[in-house]
Amino acid sequence: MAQFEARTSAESGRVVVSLAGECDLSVRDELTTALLAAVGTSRMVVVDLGALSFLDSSGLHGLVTAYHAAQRDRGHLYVVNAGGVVADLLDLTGVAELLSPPADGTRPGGDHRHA
Amino acid sequence: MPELPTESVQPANDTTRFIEARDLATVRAFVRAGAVTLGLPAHRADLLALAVSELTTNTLQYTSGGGLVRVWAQAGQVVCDVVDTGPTRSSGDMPPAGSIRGRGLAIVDRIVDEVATTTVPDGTLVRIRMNL
Repeated sequence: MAQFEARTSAESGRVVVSLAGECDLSVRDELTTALLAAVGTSRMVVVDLGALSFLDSSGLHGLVTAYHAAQRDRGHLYVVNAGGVVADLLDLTGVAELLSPPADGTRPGGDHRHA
Repeated sequence: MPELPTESVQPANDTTRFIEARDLATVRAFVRAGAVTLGLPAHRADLLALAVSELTTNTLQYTSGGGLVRVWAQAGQVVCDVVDTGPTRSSGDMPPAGSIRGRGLAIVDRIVDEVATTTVPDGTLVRIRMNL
């Protein structure tokens, strides 16, 4: 199994959680803990799925739980760089749209545009 | 495990067992490899592995034991059987995007071409099919 990893890094005005490997029931609590910790430290959380090779409903459970926690704090959480079967899962469940970054490229919250 | 139809095609090693969440990755790799061997394109094999992962996760969450997974082929389809010792669980519609839970079996319904659930002497058999 490609070992699951959730790596968190703080950038200017946001926290990026980079997920790697396979995310299923065996690491659901680890995922949720990492995402809620990120939501607790920043109102802007970006979850990078670029190195994630597998995601299932257990992972969606963690992502949506963290999304609601961010909303309660008037923050934002979105996912980027999903590919392959991970992107398929996000699309067919409607979660891709729920967690999609703002379409115009600006950061939600009104600060400056990405370079 | 129920007997297979006589016209079925099976890989040399067609069955694997799962007991705990750490086994799920092994189950997915087993299904993916078996499905590709039987002729399913890689991306479709990934989707089949996702469907089986949802079924086996459901087994681990809602029954008291693990189960068995078997991959085989018949008449232009790759077939995957998941057998557990639990009662029959039924799937519903895909929940709204903001729901925390309730997606597992709805995901299976959306991915596979056919799904059939049967009560067997040892418990429940879910048989899913993907067209080749």
